[in-house]
Amino acid sequence: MADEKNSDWVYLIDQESGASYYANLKTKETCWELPEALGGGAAEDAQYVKLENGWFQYTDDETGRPYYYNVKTEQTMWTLPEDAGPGVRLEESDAASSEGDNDEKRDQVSEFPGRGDFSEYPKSFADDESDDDDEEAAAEARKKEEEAKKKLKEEKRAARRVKILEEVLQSERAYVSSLETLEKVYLVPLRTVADQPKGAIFSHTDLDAVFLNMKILITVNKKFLDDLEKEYENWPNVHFGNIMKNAAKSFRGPYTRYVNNYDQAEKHLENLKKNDKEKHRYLEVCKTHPDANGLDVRSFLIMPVQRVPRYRMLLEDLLAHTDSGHLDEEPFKEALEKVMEVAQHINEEKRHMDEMDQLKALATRFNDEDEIAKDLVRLDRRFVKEGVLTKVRLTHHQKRHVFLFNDTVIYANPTGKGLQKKGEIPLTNGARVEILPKTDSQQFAFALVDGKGKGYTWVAESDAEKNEWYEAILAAIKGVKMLERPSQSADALLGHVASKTMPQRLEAVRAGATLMKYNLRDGKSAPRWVKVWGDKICWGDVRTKDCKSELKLPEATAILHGAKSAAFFKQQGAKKDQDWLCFSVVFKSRTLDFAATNVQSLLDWYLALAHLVPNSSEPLLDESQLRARIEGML
Amino acid sequence: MAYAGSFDHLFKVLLIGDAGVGKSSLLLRFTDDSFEEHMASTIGVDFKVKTVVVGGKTAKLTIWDTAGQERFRTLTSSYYRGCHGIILVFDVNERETFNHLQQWLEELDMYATVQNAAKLLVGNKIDLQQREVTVEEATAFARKQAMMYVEVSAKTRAGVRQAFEEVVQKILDTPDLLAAASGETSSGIGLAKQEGDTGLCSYC
Repeated sequence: MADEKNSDWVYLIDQESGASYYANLKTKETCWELPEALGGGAAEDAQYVKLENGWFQYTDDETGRPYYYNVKTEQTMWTLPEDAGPGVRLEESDAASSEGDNDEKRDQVSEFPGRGDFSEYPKSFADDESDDDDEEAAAEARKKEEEAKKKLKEEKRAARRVKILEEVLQSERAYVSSLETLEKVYLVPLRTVADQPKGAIFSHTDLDAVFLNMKILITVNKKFLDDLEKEYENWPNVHFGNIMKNAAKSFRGPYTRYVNNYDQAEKHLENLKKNDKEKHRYLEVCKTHPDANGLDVRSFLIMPVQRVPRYRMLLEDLLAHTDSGHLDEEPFKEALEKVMEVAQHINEEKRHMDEMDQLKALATRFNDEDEIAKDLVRLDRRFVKEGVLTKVRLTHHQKRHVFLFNDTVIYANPTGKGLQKKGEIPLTNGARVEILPKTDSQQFAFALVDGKGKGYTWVAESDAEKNEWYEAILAAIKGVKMLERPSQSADALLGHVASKTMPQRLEAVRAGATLMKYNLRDGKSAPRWVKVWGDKICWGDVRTKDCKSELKLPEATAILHGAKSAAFFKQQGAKKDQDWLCFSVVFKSRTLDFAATNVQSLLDWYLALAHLVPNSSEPLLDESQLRARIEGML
Repeated sequence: MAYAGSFDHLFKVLLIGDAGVGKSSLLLRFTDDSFEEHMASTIGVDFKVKTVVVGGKTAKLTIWDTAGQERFRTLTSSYYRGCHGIILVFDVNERETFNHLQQWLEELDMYATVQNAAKLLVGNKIDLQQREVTVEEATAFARKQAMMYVEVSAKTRAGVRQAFEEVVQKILDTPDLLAAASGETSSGIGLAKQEGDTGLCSYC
């Protein structure tokens, strides 16, 4: 394909000379002209001279004759226009004007040099300076120049402001005119057709589906335009502020409804095109109306969608060029706020609609589509991620198709008739996710624990995949928490737990306490009497307080806070303790996994053990870090 | 301009990219050959129509500008529908705008309804010479995404026409796209010939 060859050519500008050239990145060839392969000639190098009142002088490439183009009125003339002023360096031509040739002429206009701004302005400063050698005079000249520059800047700013005000009006005119064209070219004729008792090509249902709310938009924006036009009669003393503010208020409802329906309208038209040739053909005929300018109905329908954000651009620009304290400043600000709100509202609403559509589409992949859809499609739900993971329960391994939403996880089994839902893990009420340490059988595992403490172990195919799931689920849980918890009393829980010294904590663990001990083999938990005895940690029956088993603490390799060991997740439903109450002592060959029964006990045990195992391979937390971490987990 | 000038194809082209990279300027430079550094209009236009001749074929382009919509991504999604060509614009002097290209591409993949829409990467504002993205880097990125890369300056006009012609050429070179485009317009062209016909048209 020609494409592959072309893709090696790039168009470059020589940094030093500013000249443009072409370079082939593969062959390192360079050339000044567009290579034949790319099929074109090099850019021309015409100049222009800026005249007064929007006139520019150009040179016609073919004849070398000058001509004049007005950027404001879009007129083109062969003779020097009267209002263009003097200052033209090139020879004047007395040829007849040719206003009909605008497009052609403008096509030939080439590079705008666009160098310094001052080439456009009188050169009086330069003249002053050259006449004066004396330093004082030079300083004077510089001062003058500064002042002139400042004045120029102010003038430019004012001119810019005027231009934006004009643009507000002009773009509104163009917009309303487009809406009216849509009405004239499409809406009215289609309605006439739909009204016909017999053989109507279009039904009113079609029209409602496609043009919902269009009438209201036309009314709202016509009113806005009328107000602008009226105010414009006071030119140059116009105040659009309040008009724009009021208009912005009137946009919210109609535009939200319109944009929400927009996708449906698009789909309806798409359907007509595919399945209803007669209707589609009719629309194509409408397109040939001179006013339609060859634009199809969809090109018109999208205009309201893009209009609201553009009011924002205009208002921001207006505010940037309006002096503070100006009569219009406040109304512009309010209008901008309102417009932003409407735009965001529309955007959000549309996002909701898109998300609902996505959920509906997802539901169709299940075998009991309707049931699933009933459950799944909710206004506040958002699809996040899907993939295949292995679900591990004791010794069972099952491949499951897993869907993560912003508030729940659903897993399913693929069958010939679609996906069969196997279970759901809501991410509400303190659900959590933990990465599990690597073992030979489970390299990339993480545990998801629901709000009731029921745990599920999932194994991914790679480290990256595992991390992606972990991060995504963690983010979802955080999101749920934000909504769910009006700052539950972390303070109440941690606030009145007194701080202790390390000797006090050591004393507490040496005296012994009841901890829940999790069994590494089956994940079951039971209360055990645990104490530190010399350099050992030992545990046994709660009633007898006999220590039957022990391990040497100097042999421990790490102290972990939180349910981070696999033992906590071995059995679904077994782990009833809060995550932040859990801690583990890691040894080379095994781990000791406990849950404390209250905050103070947790602080005692974790901090004392951290003190006794200072070489922990996992980073150790001090008291304030631990408190902060617990607070975060609550 | 006559609205029904004859053309072989009607293509819809979309300009996307971060705010301030010069999408509107690019569009106006191409369609009107104008550039206003200080007195440019704020919103420019919704879209412009321009007829180009590429490889002997006349293509009428409706080029849509998304300026102002960048912050409202879901609104922008509406524009992608039925696009044959998509021009992805960044500013070679603003690294951030280059870094965001990946996001734009993801969005494009999500929303574009025409399969294999022709994509072109355009680095704008090369006249400023405060480059933060090198040609090699941009080219490598473009190639990885199976796009051609063109450097332009809407201000000096350099490369602008080439960029748009490149997109048209790519659409012409992709049979699927051409089929999609003719599906849009074939009946339209046919009917345009019966302009004088009063039949259905009297309603319009």
